[in-house]
Amino acid sequence: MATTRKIFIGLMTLLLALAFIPTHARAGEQLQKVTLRVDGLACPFCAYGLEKKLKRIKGLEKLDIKINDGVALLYYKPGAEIDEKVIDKKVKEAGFTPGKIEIENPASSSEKTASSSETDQKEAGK
Amino acid sequence: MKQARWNSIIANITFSLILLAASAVFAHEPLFGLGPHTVGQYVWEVESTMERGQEGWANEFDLIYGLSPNIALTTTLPYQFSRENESAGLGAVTLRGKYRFYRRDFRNGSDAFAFHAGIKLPGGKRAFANYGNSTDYFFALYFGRESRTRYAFADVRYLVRGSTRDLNRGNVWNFDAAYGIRPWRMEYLQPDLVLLLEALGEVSNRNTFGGRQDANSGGSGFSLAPGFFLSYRNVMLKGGVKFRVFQNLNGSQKKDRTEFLLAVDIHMPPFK
Repeated sequence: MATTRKIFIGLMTLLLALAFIPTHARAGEQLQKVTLRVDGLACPFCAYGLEKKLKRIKGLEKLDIKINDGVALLYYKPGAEIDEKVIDKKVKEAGFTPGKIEIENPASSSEKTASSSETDQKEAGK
Repeated sequence: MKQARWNSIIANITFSLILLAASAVFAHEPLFGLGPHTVGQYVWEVESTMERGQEGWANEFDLIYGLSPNIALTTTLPYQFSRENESAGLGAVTLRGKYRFYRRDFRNGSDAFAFHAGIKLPGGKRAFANYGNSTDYFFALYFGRESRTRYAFADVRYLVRGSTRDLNRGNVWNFDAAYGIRPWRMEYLQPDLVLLLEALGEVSNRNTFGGRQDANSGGSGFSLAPGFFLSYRNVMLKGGVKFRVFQNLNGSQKKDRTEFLLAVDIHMPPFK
């Protein structure tokens, strides 16, 4: 009985410990930030489809869509692979046109700018 | 009695679908017309709309599939609710396809042109009196521009009505335009309101029966329809009222009455 009790307490302690292990980046670790321009994004209702497509990208930790700026901010886990082709594909499947991609590397203070395969569209008046 | 029970069950399911419907709308489109927008690739969507048209209250149930970002296929099942001395029942099924052949995306907006074609099949448990039990075809060309603050739509539609026995119903031309504004430029995950005003013109040819024109058919009309779209993330409430402003009907015909439309759309996530 005493042995069973010890095993039970040990298992519960282990489960509690596992529960407190963060599934996201630990404090102090910076997420890799990607700023993606998305053309054709005019309304919040439209943005839902874009959100659902982008959130399927492997390694994506957080997504923030800024409609007024016409960009989507993608936050990847540290060390995760950032595949621009996948990002482009997801945006197109959602029915929009991907634009310039800017990748911020937290390992160094410099920024790396990468152009997408699409030609940037001409800005029109609002 | 058994039939009445089935009708009641169908009506209840339809009302439930109104609340659970998924939206076909990736963007705001005219309420009483249509627009150039299509659904995303691999997307299945469902839309349910309650409206009071010329034949009374009805519910239209749309099932849409996105073959590609520019091609959408739609099946429409109309259900007419009972009205004075007439029982409720399913109407004729419509199948249609839309091809967005031009799209220009720019920052915070887009322009699009689309071609639309469809067929209304004969039959259904109860054919709407307005359509008759015939096979009809329609073709349409749409233009749409949307941005953070303004919307503009225009379309021309042509309905080719089939014949039923000796009755050959007149074809119909529709010419529509719409203009909308977004008073406040809200961000994602904030309530969003768009106000739209539609102008709808219609010219219909006379019917012929047994080779002779029916003097009490055909004519022209013009309507205005203010509407609104209120959305939050993936849920949209939209509604509108269509007023007949001008009407020139041949012979002796019942005047068109005001139409109402109210819909709740829920945008569902794509399969992949």
